[in-house]
Amino acid sequence: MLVAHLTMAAPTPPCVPAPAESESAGATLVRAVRAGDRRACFFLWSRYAGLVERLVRRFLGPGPDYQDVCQEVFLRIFKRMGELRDPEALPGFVVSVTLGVARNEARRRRIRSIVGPLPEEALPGSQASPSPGEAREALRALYRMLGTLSAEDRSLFVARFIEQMELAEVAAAHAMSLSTAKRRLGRLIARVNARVEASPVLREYVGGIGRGGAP
Amino acid sequence: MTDERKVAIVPETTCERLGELAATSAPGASGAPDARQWASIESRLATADRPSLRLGLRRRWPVFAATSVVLACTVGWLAARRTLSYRTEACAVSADGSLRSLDQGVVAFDDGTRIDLEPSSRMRIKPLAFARGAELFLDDGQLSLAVVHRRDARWAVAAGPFRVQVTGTRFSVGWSEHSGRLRIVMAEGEVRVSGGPVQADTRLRAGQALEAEAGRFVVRDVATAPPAPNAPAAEPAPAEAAPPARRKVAAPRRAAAPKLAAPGARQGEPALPATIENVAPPAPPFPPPTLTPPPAAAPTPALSLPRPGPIRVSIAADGRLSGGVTGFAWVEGGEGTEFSTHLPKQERVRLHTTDGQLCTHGRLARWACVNEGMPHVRCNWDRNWGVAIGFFVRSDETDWGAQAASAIGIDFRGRSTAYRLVAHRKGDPREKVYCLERYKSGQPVKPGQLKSKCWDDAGDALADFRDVESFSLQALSGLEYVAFRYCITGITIYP
Repeated sequence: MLVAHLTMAAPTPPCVPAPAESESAGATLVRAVRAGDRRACFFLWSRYAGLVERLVRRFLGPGPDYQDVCQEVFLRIFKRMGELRDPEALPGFVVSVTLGVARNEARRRRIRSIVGPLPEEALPGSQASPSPGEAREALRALYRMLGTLSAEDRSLFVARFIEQMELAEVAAAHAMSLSTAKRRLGRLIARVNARVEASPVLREYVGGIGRGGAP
Repeated sequence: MTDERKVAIVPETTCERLGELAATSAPGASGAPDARQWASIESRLATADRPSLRLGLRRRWPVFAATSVVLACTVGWLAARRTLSYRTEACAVSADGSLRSLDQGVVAFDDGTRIDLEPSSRMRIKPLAFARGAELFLDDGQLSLAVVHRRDARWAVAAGPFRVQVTGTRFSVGWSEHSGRLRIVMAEGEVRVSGGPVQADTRLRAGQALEAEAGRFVVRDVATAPPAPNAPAAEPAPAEAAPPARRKVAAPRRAAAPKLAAPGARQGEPALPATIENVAPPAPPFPPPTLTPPPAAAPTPALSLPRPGPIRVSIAADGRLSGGVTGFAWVEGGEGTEFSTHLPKQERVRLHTTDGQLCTHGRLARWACVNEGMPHVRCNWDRNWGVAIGFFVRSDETDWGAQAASAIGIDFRGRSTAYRLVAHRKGDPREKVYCLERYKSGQPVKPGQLKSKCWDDAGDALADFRDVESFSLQALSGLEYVAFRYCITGITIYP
């Protein structure tokens, strides 16, 4: 009887095909991922895992589910790599897919919150936070407030005000024109300010600093 | 987009100030990415959709988008009303819904999660919406839990002021209502403990134990052998005048992973030291929690087991079993079966664990039949029989002999399909087996329930397990191609 080990072999260092003369490293990587090269996929994951995790955690807030969402992001990236026309736009593509998956997760949680209370550990701010006291309370209130926004508005808020992306980057990440992004951000700022006014915790934290903000 | 800010933004506005607050709470991850994340991704990549299917979905995406909104709302509402069901063994149910174990009680959930109760333990179960898990309230006694890891799983044990959050693991927890002492011994996975004197979200990993009572708690390393469900909790280390020295925590058993730098503690998540103490010196000996004496009333089991004292078989990372069964696990496919991990076809191959479970996935070919639709249809079901995860009862692959159990139960999870429990006797031809159709996860099975022609509910019944050399859980081929994906999550034998 044949006996064999089925343990997963440790991936060797990336060994993507030799690039063409005019092909950049990014293009080589994208081409290899499209071809299904697992080593290329691993290389892409190791390069962008930190970025994806940061985006997901900032979008969803503190909680235990972000790792599953991060996995889902990379699976989507690998599946949709064929949509990336310009390999040099890979970083923006990663951000766009990440925000899309995070929006879906936010919608899913919102449906769940309608039919039942969230478990204690899923409440924002229930995990360890570096900011004590007032900031922690404000963080909890912030993510509660973000939970009342639509997934698209939340995504715009994360991209523009948490990640502090440029307007053009925000527009590209959300597949909208620059003018549309400006218009939607303007409306988003108004909604956020209204919610902050209605929240004693957020109002106190912000401390009456001038309203609005340049989109 | 880059990590560095292109413009130094002064937080003068409300949105910007709130954005800075959120950014501060979740800074960029430090250290190398967690290699276990890649292992999970690669495993899922192995069963990714075919390219033709992806193209088809893209073309029909607008239609899906239009109808999915309506379906999502309906499904979400229905899913919220669904909870995990469970069955109990050797437990009495009170009028208020609480359970009391009469002997070695068992609570087995639909998803394969299993709880073993020490005699006279009392607990309550509150299943959660979306069949995500349950809240378990341990009023007194000791539980051993084997929780199946699922993405959205939510399991927690509340004992007095303490709370143990579980994501997919095996451990035992004991709580004495009388003395107010808590004890947790980890076998696999990780839990988070809070409440009472325990620091918020203290994490316990395999090979650690926590003992807590009013005002203090201790975390220490213990032997890595998993606690048997009917064995008493491990005794604590002998009394020491000084706090015990810090020791390295044994690394959890994992499949080989990419050679990355060991993931350090991420910001905001304090690393778990080898030993945590919160006691005033000198630290007196900490005896195990005392259990209330068994009741005088006669037991009234909900389900009768052949004999008391089920033994939970341990599954090592290399597929070797221990605890009543000493053989090793294997996987085998019939004609036309294709494994996602590209195993040799139609050969029995040793199976290693994935997160403590014996798993396999791939695709089953359809039967090749002649005279279809007619009474004398003939198919290649003898050769194209499907796939099986199995194990030898003894390491030398001989029959079980005098040590044979009187019943056996296999916990599993997987795609919704028919599974067959199969036993093979030493010396019988390979194709001659004794089986039970439509086997349910965790169902205890006696020899007489296995028949030589179980597909027709006919044939000879197995007299006992003494001649049996192996058991297997088989997923069957059928008239259509079908993907298979299932795991054996636990094995229990009844002496």
